[in-house]
Parts: sequence; structure tokens; C-alpha cells
Amino acid sequence: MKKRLDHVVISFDQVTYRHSEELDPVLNELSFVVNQGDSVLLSGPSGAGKSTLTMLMNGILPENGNGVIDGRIKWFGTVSTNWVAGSISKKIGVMFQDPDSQFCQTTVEEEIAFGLENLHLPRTEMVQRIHTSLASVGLDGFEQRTIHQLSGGQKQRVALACLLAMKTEILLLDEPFANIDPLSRRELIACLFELKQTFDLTIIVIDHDLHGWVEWIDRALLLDTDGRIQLDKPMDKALSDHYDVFEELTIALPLFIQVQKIHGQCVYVKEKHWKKHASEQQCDLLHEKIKIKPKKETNTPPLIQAEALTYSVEGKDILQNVDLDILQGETIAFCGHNGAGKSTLALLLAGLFNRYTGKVYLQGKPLEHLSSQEVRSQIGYVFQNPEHQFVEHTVKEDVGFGLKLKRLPEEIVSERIQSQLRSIGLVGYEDHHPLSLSQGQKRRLSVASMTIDDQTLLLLDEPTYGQDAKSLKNLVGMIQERKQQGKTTVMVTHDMELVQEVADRTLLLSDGKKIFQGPTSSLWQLGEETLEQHGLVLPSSVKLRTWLGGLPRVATHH
Amino acid sequence: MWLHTINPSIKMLTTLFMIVVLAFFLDPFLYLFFWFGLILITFTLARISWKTWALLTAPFLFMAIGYVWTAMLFPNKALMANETMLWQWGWLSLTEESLARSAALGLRVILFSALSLLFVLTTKPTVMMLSLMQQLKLPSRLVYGIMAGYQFLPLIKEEFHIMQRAQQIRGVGRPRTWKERLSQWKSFVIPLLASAIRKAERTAIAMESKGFTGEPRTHWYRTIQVKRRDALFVGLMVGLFALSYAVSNLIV
Repeated sequence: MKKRLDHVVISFDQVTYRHSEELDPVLNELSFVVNQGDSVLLSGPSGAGKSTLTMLMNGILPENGNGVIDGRIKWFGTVSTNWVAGSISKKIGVMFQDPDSQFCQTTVEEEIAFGLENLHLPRTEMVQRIHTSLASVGLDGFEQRTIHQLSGGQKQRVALACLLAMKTEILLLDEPFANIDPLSRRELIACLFELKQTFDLTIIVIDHDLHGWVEWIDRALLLDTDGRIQLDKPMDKALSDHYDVFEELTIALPLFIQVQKIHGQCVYVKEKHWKKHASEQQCDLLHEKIKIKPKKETNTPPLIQAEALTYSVEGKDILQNVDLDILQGETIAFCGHNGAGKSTLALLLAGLFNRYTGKVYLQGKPLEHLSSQEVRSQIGYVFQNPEHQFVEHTVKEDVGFGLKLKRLPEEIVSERIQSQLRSIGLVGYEDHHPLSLSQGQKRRLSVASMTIDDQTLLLLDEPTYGQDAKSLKNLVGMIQERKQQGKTTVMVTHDMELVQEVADRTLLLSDGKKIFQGPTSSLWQLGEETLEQHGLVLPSSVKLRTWLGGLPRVATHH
Repeated sequence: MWLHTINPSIKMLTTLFMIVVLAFFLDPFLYLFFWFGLILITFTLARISWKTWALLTAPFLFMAIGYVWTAMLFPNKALMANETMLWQWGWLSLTEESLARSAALGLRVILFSALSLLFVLTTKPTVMMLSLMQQLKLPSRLVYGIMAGYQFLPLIKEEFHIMQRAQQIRGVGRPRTWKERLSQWKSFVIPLLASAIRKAERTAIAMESKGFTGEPRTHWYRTIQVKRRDALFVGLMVGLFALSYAVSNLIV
């Protein structure tokens, strides 16, 4: 790609930023330059100040915050303080992580027009720009649609259209595709870089997960937990010379990058290039990584059985005639596109809805005959957003809430609380408010509170939501530990790698109907096309296995 | 339909004006005629379902009955000295004039509710907000803030339901007494507020990064116009008032 080093769009010179209520700065002596046409990945562990940096880059901070800034920021060669307040936001557009809270209007066209009115454009120009921007993100004819009713992926497309309509040449994307299904993520990234080519955009992506990005991005800029720049290099150089830095900062990397970590070799950032040049050593490593762990035959009796389960709300069938079984000790994943009824099914199994038709048995007993106390001592449920399920004002009390209800003796309760807190690494946080914890800590606390009573079945709703690579590792470890203890786990998830890694079996739902239930490996055999119809993609480990299987030399080697 | 296309600001001001003017009279016949006229307008010039209208009027109807009742039972004795007695039983007494006053009080409630519903049921919130900025020149910072807040309502409701479910699953029993209900509300309020504040902060940042500074707009994507029909609407309401006034005077 052609570089125009002469055309600097954003430059940071020794920038340090501190929130006024904190002693340590979030960002420490940052110096870097973004040139026109660059595509930069800004990454680091949670708490590295990535979002603060985003807001400094487009001028929201320090103007609208009460922090202290040192150093100098320049936009297009002009020092930030010389820009009229708010004027730089018209040149640098931002797309945010949360699809819901970045809109202030009801319909799609009103939302795009909001930005255009801020630019004081004449109406005819607005109409034309709304039309073309929607067309370029693949949303023709969506002008009059209500934003609230769109899917997560469509909302992010609208957000992108807003930026395109404003003709901002620099796009800042703050983990924009973290909460949407894998197929939409892949399509959106492809769409984004097509647009980059067409309009010569400068793109700065903030993400702790490189899946999907790595093939498109030219440069990596890594921050550590102190908010210092650890690395600022072209992507391929960064990966080949400083792979350990990525690992240290717990940045999630795609499999084909992971196997190239053998030091001193040049790293191919495009999967198809790597496949052409893959060394035998790398293939062996890949083989090792994706080896199917022998799954022990589960001939255990069923924990839950459901027959002809139908559940409707206001005359609309959310679940239709679903049969399923969950065996004792297995890990099972519920998959399907948004609104397929996965969460409803999980909530129903947790005994929350009682106006269903059909039968549900928990260990052979009909669910409706069990008291809510009995169901609760068997089944735990962890919500997508852990914040929703905290009921007490301190960590200690929240963990012990389930035991308190059972009126167990004080000593036993406090002992169990302590051991539970030890196992999730929250000793010392006993008296903190649950809402004051970090994202990862909140997730672990919510799981701990739900399992303190030794529940045999744990239902997890989108457990990977808002988690970084490190918390994800914790989560996988937790699920595997449960498996070893013979406990059952159900997860509702979009994360296909997680499904591949831990799920013994999978249930695929579509519009409330069961499409498939069986071993996870059989799910992949449904084929890419069928999976994509349900918003899913093949996990890369499965794809690479197929590729590896088709390689003659590997076949002879083993 | 016609009433839906009237400029919201004009519609609102006319409605308010009519309420203020009508409050100066306490005449049951005037109120009754005006109300009939209003009903005629509501159901011929607007597309409103009978059911919704009746449902929304019901509470006002109860309120009106209450008014009439108390006004008849506990009249202002000083006023009644020189009035025509209709009916007397023990300490209860009813004069012709006090009956008229009570009826007028009740009708006033019903009339005002009909006027408000005429406005509320024919006006879209978004159009109303745009009109507030374009005709009444309210600051855009304020109005867009309200509009953004309006987007939150369904989200907050959704969140509330999720939290209710979460508490149920964790074994927080359904509240039975008022005290329990209150303490459950308290446990909802902090996380809901925390998330609402965070959402609001994010939305504010998002609006600002779309170049919103609060300065007045020079061009609108959607212009809310003032047309001849708006004058017609004002004329219609004033005409209705004049007619009702004349007829009520004729009768009495």
C-alpha cells in the first residue's frame, strides 16, 4: 500500500492524561502519528485507557471531561487548542461499541440527518447523502425503519452510514463489532474495508480481539495497563518480532497467527498467504492445537428432558414444539440468530415462565411440580450483563445471598463465602459494591453467586459479552472445571470458538423451532451455507482442520 | 387525517388558550355544547380509535363524578342564601344554582380531558419536538436532549424486566407487602440509575461526535411548516367557542 508520510492527520506528542478523581494517569506520555490512509489497530488489555484515547483523538476530551492533560495533540497539523470547539468532531467520526446508546433519533433517516444538520447542509444534499450512504452499507430502503427494531448488526451498519454521510475521512471504531453475531462481524469488517478503498478513509480500530481485523490492518499500536505505548509497528513486523508483547497484553489472536509464533520467521497476516507458505513445523503446531480432545462418552442419565415445548407471548410463538435433552455432566451450547428464542428457552428451563405447554422434566420430575426453592437449588442462571443480577450492596453479601435464604448457620456461610471468593480471586473485595468492580470481576462474581449452593446445572447467557481475552480464559477454565466435577453447563452464545472448545453438544434454534441437536462436530457438518443462514460461521479451527486434512504432506507425515 | 397534519405548536397553543378561556366560565351549557362540538371534531377530523379514547377518558370521568358529588354534598353555604331551593333533606340542601355549579365543575374536567386528548392523540412526539425548535425557537440542546431521553424509555423498561427476572431466579421472593415492594424498588433503583447515567453519557458523547454543538440549525431535513389549515384550526376552535357561548346564552 502506498504511504503518504507527508500527510499527517493526527499526531500525539508526549500526551499524558489523568482523570481528576484518580492519582495515576490513564495515558502516559503517548507519542504517535496517524497518516492519511492508514489503518491502525489500537489494542491492549482492559483498563489500558483505549476508550479515553479514542475520546482524546476526536476532541471529546479534555473539553467535556474534568481530567488533566499534558502534551500536545495536533489535527491536520494544527494544535488542538486552535480548533473551534466541536469542529473536529465533524472531521473525525466515531463508532461505538454499544449499538443501543449511540442513537438519539427514532428512524434511520432522522438519525443520519441529525449529523448532516450539524454540518448545515442544504436539504437536497441531505436527501442524496442519506440515500447513497445507506446504499453503500447495504441498507437500501431502510430510511423509514425504526432503529430500535433493527438487529445489532443492522444498527452498526446504520452507525457506519451516519459517518459516511458526514464524509468524515477518519473513522475511529471503538470495539464496534464486539456484541454482534459472528457472521455480521465478518460481513461488516469486509464492508468497512471496501469503503476504505473506495473513499480513501483513515481507519483507527480499537479492539482487544484481532479476529477478522488482522488481514486488513497495516499497523499495530499496543498499550499496556499503565497506558504507555508498548509497540508501534507495521502489523506483520509487530507480529513477527514482538509476538510476546501481544501475548503479554492478552490480545486475542487468530489461530493461524498463533501457530506462526516460532521466533525469527516472518509472519503472514493474510490467511491465504500463510496457507501457501506454511512450514511443516507450523502445521504440526496447528495440528497439536486443534486436535480433538477425546470426549468421554456421555451415557449419563438426562438431567433435563423437554417434550413438545411451546411458549408464546401475546399470541406470538417464541418457542414451537421443542424437544430436547440435557445429559448430566455435559456442556451444551444453544445457538441461533438474534431472536431465535435461545434465551427464552434457557429462562424457561430455569423455571421462570410457567405458562408453557408441553413437558419439562428435571431429573425425571415434572418442573411444574417443583417449588421454586427446589429448582433454585439445582439450577443457576447467569445473565448476559452481570450487573442485572446483583441483589446486595457488598460483594460478600451478594455471594452469600443464596445461602442466607437457606438459613444456614453463620459460620458455614462465611466459610463458604471465603472459599468462593478465593476461587474467583476476589479476596480483599468483600466490602466493595458489586457495581464498582471491573467487567471481568463482575462476571466472575455473578457466576460465583449463582453457584455457591453447588447447583448441578448452570445456565450462562452470552458469557463472553464484554470480556477480554484473559477473562475469557478464566471462563473456559471454569466451564472445564465444572465438567470434571460432573456438573452440567448450558451456554447461550454467538462465540463459535467457545462452542468448539467446550461444548459437547449443540442445540440450534431458528424462529423458535429446533433445527438441530447433536454433537458439536456434527453441527459443523451441516456446512457453511446452512450455518450462515442462522447467523453462524464455522470456527477457524474447524476450517483449518479441513484444510490440514486436505494437505498431502501432513497426511503422510502422520 | 386533517387534525394530524396541524402544526403541533399551533395545536398546543390553541388548546392551552382554549383551556384558559374556558376556565373563566362556569357554565354547564357552554361546556356541554363545546364538548359536543369537540367530540364531533375529534371523530370526524382525526383517526382515533374509540376504544383508546374511551379508555383514556374513563379516569377523568370518575374524577368528574367525584367533583359533582362533593360539590353537591358540601356546597358553599354563603352563596346559597338568595338562591332558589330545589330540594332539602336534613342538613342536605340543593339549590338550582348549586346544581348548575356542580354540573359545570364535572363537565369542566371532562371537557379539559377531551381537549388534551384531541392534542395528544393526534400529535407525534418527534414532529412536536421539531416544531418546538422550528416555530417556538426552543434551544436545540434542550429539545434534542429530550428526544434522546425518549429513546431510552423502551431500553429502561426492558432492563427493568430483566432485573425482575434476575431477582426471581436468585430467589428474591415476589413482594407481598408494601414494605417489601418498597425495598425491592430500592434495590432496582441504583443499578437502573447507574446504567441510565452511563447510557446518557454515551449518547451525549455520540451526539457530540456527530458534530452537535447546540448551535441553531440553518437547514432542516424535516421542515415543520405553518400552513393555511393551521389558521383554519384556530378559527374552528374559536368559532366553536363563540357558537357554544351564543347557544348557552340563548337557552338560559
